[in-house]
Amino acid sequence: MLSVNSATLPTDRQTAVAVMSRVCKKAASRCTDDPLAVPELWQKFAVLRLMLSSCYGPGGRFKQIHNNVGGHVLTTSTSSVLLRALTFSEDLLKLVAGAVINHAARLGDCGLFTGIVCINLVQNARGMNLSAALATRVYRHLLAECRRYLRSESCGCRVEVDFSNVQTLITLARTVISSKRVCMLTPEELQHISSVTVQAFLLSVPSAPSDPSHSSAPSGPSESSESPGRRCFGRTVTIPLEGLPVGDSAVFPGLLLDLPVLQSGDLQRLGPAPYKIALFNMSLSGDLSDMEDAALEIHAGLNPDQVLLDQLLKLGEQVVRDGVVLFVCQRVIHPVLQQYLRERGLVVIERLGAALVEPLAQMTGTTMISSIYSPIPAQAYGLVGGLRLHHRASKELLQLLPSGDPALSTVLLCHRNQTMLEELKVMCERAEHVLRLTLKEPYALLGGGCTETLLSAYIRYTTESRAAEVAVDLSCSLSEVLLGTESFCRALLSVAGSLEREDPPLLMDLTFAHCWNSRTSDQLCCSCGLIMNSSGLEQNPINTEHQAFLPELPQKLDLHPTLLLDSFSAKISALSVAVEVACLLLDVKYTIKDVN
Amino acid sequence: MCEAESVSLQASLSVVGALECVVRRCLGPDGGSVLFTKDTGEILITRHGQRILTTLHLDHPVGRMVLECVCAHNRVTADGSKSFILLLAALLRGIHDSAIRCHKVSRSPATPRKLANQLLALCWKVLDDIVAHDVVPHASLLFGASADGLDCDVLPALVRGYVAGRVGNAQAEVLTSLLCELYCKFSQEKGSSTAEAITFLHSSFSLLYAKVSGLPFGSSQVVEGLVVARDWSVWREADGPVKTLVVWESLDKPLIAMGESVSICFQQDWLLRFENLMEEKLSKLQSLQVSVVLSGVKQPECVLEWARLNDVSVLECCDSEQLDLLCELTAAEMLPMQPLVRITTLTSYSRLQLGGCRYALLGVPPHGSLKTHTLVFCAPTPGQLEQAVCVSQGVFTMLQHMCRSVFRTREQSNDTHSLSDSHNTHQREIERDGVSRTHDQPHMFTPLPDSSQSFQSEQPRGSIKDVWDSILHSGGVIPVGGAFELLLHHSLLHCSNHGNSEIRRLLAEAVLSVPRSLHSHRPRYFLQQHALLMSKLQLLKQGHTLSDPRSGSDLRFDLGPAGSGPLCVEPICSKHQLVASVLQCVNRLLCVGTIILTQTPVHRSLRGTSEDSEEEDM
Repeated sequence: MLSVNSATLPTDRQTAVAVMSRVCKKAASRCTDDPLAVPELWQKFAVLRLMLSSCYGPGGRFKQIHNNVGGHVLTTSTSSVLLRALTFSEDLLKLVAGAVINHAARLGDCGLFTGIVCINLVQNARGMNLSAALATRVYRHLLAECRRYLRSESCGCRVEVDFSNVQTLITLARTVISSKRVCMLTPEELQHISSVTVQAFLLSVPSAPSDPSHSSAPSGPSESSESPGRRCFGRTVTIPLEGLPVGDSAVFPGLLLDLPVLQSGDLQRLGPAPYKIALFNMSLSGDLSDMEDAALEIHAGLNPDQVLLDQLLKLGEQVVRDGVVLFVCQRVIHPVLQQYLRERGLVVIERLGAALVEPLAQMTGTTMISSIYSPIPAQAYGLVGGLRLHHRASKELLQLLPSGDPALSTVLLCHRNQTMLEELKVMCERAEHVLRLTLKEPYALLGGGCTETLLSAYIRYTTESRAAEVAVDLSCSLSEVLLGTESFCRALLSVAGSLEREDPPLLMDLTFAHCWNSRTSDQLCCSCGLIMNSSGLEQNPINTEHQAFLPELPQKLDLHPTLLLDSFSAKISALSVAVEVACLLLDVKYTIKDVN
Repeated sequence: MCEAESVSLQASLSVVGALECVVRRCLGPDGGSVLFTKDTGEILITRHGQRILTTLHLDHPVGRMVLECVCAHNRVTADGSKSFILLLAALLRGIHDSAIRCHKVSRSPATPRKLANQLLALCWKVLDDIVAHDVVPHASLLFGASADGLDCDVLPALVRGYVAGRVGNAQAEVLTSLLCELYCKFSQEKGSSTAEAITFLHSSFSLLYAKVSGLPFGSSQVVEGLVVARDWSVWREADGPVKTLVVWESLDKPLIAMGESVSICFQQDWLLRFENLMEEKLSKLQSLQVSVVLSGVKQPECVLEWARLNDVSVLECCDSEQLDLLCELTAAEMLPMQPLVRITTLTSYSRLQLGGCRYALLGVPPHGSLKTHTLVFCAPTPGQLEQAVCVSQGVFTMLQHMCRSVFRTREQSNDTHSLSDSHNTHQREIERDGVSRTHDQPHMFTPLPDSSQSFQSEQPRGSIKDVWDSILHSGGVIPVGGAFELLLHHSLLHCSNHGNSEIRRLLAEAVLSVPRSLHSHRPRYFLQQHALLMSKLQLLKQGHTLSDPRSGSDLRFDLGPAGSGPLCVEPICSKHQLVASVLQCVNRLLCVGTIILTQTPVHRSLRGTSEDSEEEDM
């Protein structure tokens, strides 16, 4: 039977295709020659760039997206949320958006940075009349130069993350969370949320005997295959709670469950911890969902529901006999069984969801049970370190404490309204992601635009000092190298420039090449907070002509808590992606659009 | 009712000319790419000639016929679809011009067709000869003296030459080194033969890569083992070689089948019976002592539970082709009575973190001399990943074609020259060329003996180095950027003993169109290189050796605007095949007298049976 099926299938498909091709003729594709020469495209590029750069930084404005026939209104200034909600008429823009979204999905941070740099690189190359091949070569060279500098010891914008001191981690988290205005946090709240995030991150790092840098980052680049001895990160569950002050946010080791009905009296009656737990990952609702194919023949006088329920109750009997206290199921539990178990003093949790079952099994050392037809083997049970009840607002939350290694922790996030809470949740997840990346590369970059100004000053200096050599290497003329460098540096500076939208433009000092806010120049530090004293420093508005110079390293690095720090891995990757996508866009000479 | 439409040379020319316009944009390393939006809204970026032509959804019958020829050519060589269109357009133009000229003289209407026939005859009779005797020896001489230090670079140079025209500059370097690394790691064992590795990579490349989007292209790498794009359903760590069960069907399949025929009833003991059968089966599995189960389909929950309790790792929903490959590589044993179950041994297994996803990584023991590795592509967008995969597949097709043709010529030369004395074939060929040369210039041949040895070696497959050596020395490759076309052009014009001189001139002029448009943005450079080559040929003819041992590689029509950058080469056989294919296509085009537009479907089997019959098309 099977062989006949497989033999007839392809021929059927072929005839279907043949019929289709006869019925509907494919329309010819729409072609555009040299799409980059179309002026409308540049307008669209400029709009997208403005949109991205106006979202950038702590002063960024948020965007509201809504459909003109009504529906949900989305308020955000996060690149991945924003770009996902938009539809693009232009394929080239779609390409940029896709690259930004993919980057943000992998590395969590610097999505807006990628988009702004990429579009600027394309626009500058076009504006300076650099040919695609030439711009590609120069950009590639400068990118390699940037990567080399950022990874070298002499790099002035890199700070080492000190794992013995939690301050750098908190600073990193704070910079990420503070970069979005939608969150609307006061400085105290910001500090609290940052420390909560770092706490959650520290709980998720497995307490392996080796040092923590051996654990593999969940979304890092590909080389982290898990050999024995390496362990996964634990999971952090976030529970958003609307209406409470931000200060009520907290981290709980283990799993926190929001249960609709809980007999708090039950908990008091329980004996001392630890408790035995049984974990089911199949439905205990008593229907026959798993045998659709078989023909059922039911004997008269026999009730299949009753038979199954008997089976379930038999299971319940065994569980009670074995002294289980916590009975958890991924899916639905039959109400009769629930009632039966509750009467005997068990805590019953149903509809846990697939995402939580695996970490819970790991935390408690349980084997998931997937059959109701055989007795539960003794080794399938696990242990819970304790149960605790928390009251927050109108909700009762049950905390399952880990008995050993906490593979699971829960962050309770509170905020005043839903929009802010949603954005805060995204930002906290991003911050945790950024913190995990530091385990792979224990560095951070200076924030506040200082990395960009420093990098551009360095690139200008190195290229100018050996321009002739570079020109030979890249087989182009000296002026072309300088033009390409100018374009690259301007793209970098435009990111720093997006931080400040109001009039007095940002300044750059000509000694350390850090970024200064001109309105606060009477204050004592630069944007990132590393350079404390502006007296005696010559300052220029960014994007103005100045003599190329090699940025000096500050004498001592004072890692005080008000510093701004960005993710190292994410920014390097973002720069690479931006350059690669820009080269790709410049390379497009023809578009073909299938309009079928 | 049928409509008929007569086809003139003019019409074909305009269709091919339109295609030429599209293709010309993306030719060579300085060309651009095409952004293609599929009907699903998916974005694809490509420079792949055939792909561009296919996506155009050509409507005109002539266009579709050309596309068919391009595809046929591409299947063989995976190379030269863009040059195909350029050469075709140039030839048609040449025929058109000379037809007009003839028309003025003799007023015979059939001239284009006659010219096409003559061209095809030239292709059958003379082309092989010219390529074998004029182009190949020169190509080998260009490298001959500089063999040291170059031979190990032939593969990168070949791959670079191929890749440079197909992806943007930014990706080309990375992709070249990746593909070379993959090849080297595959055949790192001693005694492995090139052909084996290339054939294997060519046939199963589609199963040997994984894609990660969102990371820069530079993060791509080669990973040892086989990557399966699934995460383990049940994961238990273990070391060392592990016994593995490979299944293609659900383990409770027999039970379901039984249910269909027996009909299940709810009796007091039924539920238990169901379980007993399953348990029996699982305990049988346990007796095999496997610690890994790889499954082509989803397994029932009870199997997973069994695995959890017995510390067995389970990987579900694997690609069944990948499982087949795995079984082939590990020489898996069948179990008696169970056709869809195999037992095998893996060297290791682990989880691999790629981007945001977890994949399974299976360690495969060496298969013969091949060590299995997987290529992990990273790129910012999915469209670029697609492009990289497509190009990599093409590289191996190209290498496969080249290896095959090199072995074929080697076998032929074994047949013809095995009785000849140790003096190699090249001398003879060069002498046939009409070059007067005396034996008092033995240094002319000094670089060649080892190639003659490899030519006449008994074993058809040498070690890696030998094969690349012999490919280099026997003139299997030539610098990219028009060297082949210039040499062919030159030979066609100057060999007096073959065929009609006007036909040869026609082809010779047309052949130059490819390098001309390749260097269209710097025509002066092209002329300089042309002159340089000619003077070098002149020197060779006069019996000089190239004084500077590395001067051979000066003859590079290079990618960089000023002629710097690493050397890129391309296989001569593909180029040769290209000229032959185009000549056939021209003939096919010009044989069409009338296009009949019908309303009824035309079956494939009815059309194109002979070259001379009129082409029918919808």
